[in-house]
Amino acid sequence: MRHIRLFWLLTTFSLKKTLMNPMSIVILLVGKFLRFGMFFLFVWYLMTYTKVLSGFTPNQVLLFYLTFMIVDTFAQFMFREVSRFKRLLVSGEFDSILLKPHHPFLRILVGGMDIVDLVLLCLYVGLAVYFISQLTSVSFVHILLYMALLMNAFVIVASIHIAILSLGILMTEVENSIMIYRDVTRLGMFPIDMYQKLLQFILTFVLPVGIMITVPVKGLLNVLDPSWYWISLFCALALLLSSNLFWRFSLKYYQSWGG
Amino acid sequence: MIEVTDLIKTYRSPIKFRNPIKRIILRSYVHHEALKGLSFRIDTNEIVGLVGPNGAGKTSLMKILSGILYPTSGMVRVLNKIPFSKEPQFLKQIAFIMGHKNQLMWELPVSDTLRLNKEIYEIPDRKYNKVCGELIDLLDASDFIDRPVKTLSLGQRMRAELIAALIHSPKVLFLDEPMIGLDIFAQSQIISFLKEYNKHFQATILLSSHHMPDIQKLAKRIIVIQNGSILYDGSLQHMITSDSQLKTLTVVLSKKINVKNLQLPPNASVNYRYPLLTIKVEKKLIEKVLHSLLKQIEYVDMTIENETLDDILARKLNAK
Ligand SMILES: Nc1ncnc2c1ncn2[C@@H]1O[C@H](COP(=O)(O)OP(=O)(O)OP(=O)(O)O)[C@@H](O)[C@H]1O
Ligand SMILES: [Mg+2]
Repeated sequence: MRHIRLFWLLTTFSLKKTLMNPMSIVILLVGKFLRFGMFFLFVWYLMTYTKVLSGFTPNQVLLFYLTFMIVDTFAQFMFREVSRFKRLLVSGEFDSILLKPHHPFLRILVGGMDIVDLVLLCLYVGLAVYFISQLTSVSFVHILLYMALLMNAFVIVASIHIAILSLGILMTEVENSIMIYRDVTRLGMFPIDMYQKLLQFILTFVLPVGIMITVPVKGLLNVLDPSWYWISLFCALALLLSSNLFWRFSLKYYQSWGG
Repeated sequence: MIEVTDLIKTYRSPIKFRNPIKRIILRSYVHHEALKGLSFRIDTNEIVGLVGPNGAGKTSLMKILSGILYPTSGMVRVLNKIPFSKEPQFLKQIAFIMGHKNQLMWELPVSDTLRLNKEIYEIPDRKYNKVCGELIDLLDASDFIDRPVKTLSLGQRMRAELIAALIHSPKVLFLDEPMIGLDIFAQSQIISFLKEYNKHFQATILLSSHHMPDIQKLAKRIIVIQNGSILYDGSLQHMITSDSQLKTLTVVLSKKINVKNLQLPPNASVNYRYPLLTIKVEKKLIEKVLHSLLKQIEYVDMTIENETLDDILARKLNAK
């Protein structure tokens, strides 16, 4: 309860800080709308394309793409502050965060939520709802399944960001890790069944993009082997656990700069 | 209250090879022992000065005591807790103030940081209003509390920092060079504030500074560290009386003299620049010198001083 209040206060302050500089908001908005525009171009292109892509209809492929956008925007919305972590490390601000009697993740992981991204996220979710309702054979159970698997995906995304933060402490390097993360997840824009076998395997078990995006949609479309439910759950929990262990480990090696 | 036994802290920094491939493959480190087995304890309500040259390990020690850094080995207890575990109950009772850094939100008014800290430390409204009012009064901060931090002067920011750091009435204070860059007025304001705070809240204060007069005004006990080891730990007064060996005699002359003709003990060091004559002699000789000097010169003013803490420390540190 208290964490939620704190979280809210931090979000307001972070918003207040952004509002202090109107120019940056303009640039931010332009960037977001460009992305959204690109998205529509892509949708339009897909719709005029009638061929079936590795067994999926264009409508279905669109759902993969939308799910990717939801996961990606969710990460940007929730974990925006991660990209600023290096600055906190180098300036020594992280020291004073560690001194606060709350979990540091409240500041460094979810401490800088971005309202603009929230709007976009709602847009994508709305679109996903629309396209799901357009599907002919979809049952309520499968929608629930989709949501549950998506939750797993969010847990995985959170774990990856925790790992990025831990690596940040050890290496003083954050931006490149985020870039790699985003580049790899971009491969999940399309169902990973499109790629060749080896890449598919890597994208499932080494870099869990498949589990984050392809698996939920396949669950929705009822083309998923039930064993994947457990794999997804196991994968999410294992990653969450190991990233937290990694975080604790890295704190022991934190050297704190300057003084 | 604070207990430290055989504390060792080793920093590890990667060796930078020119060749980036070597850097990745070899990845070797240099180890630097910043604290070499410190042991001491500090009781409740003590004010202890932590002094030592640059790089002695003062900041490292405070970072370990406040739980930011993980000690390489040794035992550390503060308020009967292990600092590194960062239990909220522990963190709510300490404050770490660094003179050259601050926790205030740069773009926003000081009062916003205070409000945030109120939530973070779960301070009830009534207590918050009371403590906040007291601190603002004591530090004379009412006129800048609503201004964005980036528009404050260094001294104002430091005072704001103190308010933000003490709003939760911590029991243990770590102050790392809190007076850096402040004018004399602000310094004495903060010193008397800290004294008051120490009395009022029965707080324990560990304070590092390179400015000895501050330490002398606040602390009864000092810990001198050099190169990560404790050189002296004990009463400040005791160190001054027992280690001070020289007295300085300064005379303002009313008539020029020829220094060579002065009759003084052989080991006295003399500095003469009309009208000032400065003589440093051993404590036990001062009476004799004075006696004979008064017959040889004409003067308008004269003072006798003990060595300053800086002199004593410099000698102590050099001796090692
Ligand atoms: N993050 C770090 N990585 C590597 N070495 C460090 C680090 N922090 C401090 N050191 C080294 O540890 C030693 C002690 O540093 P520390 O900052 O504790 O000194 P200090 O007593 O606070 O000095 P000063 O009076 O200059 O502030 C120094 O030799 C310093 O170079
Ligand atoms: Mg220091």
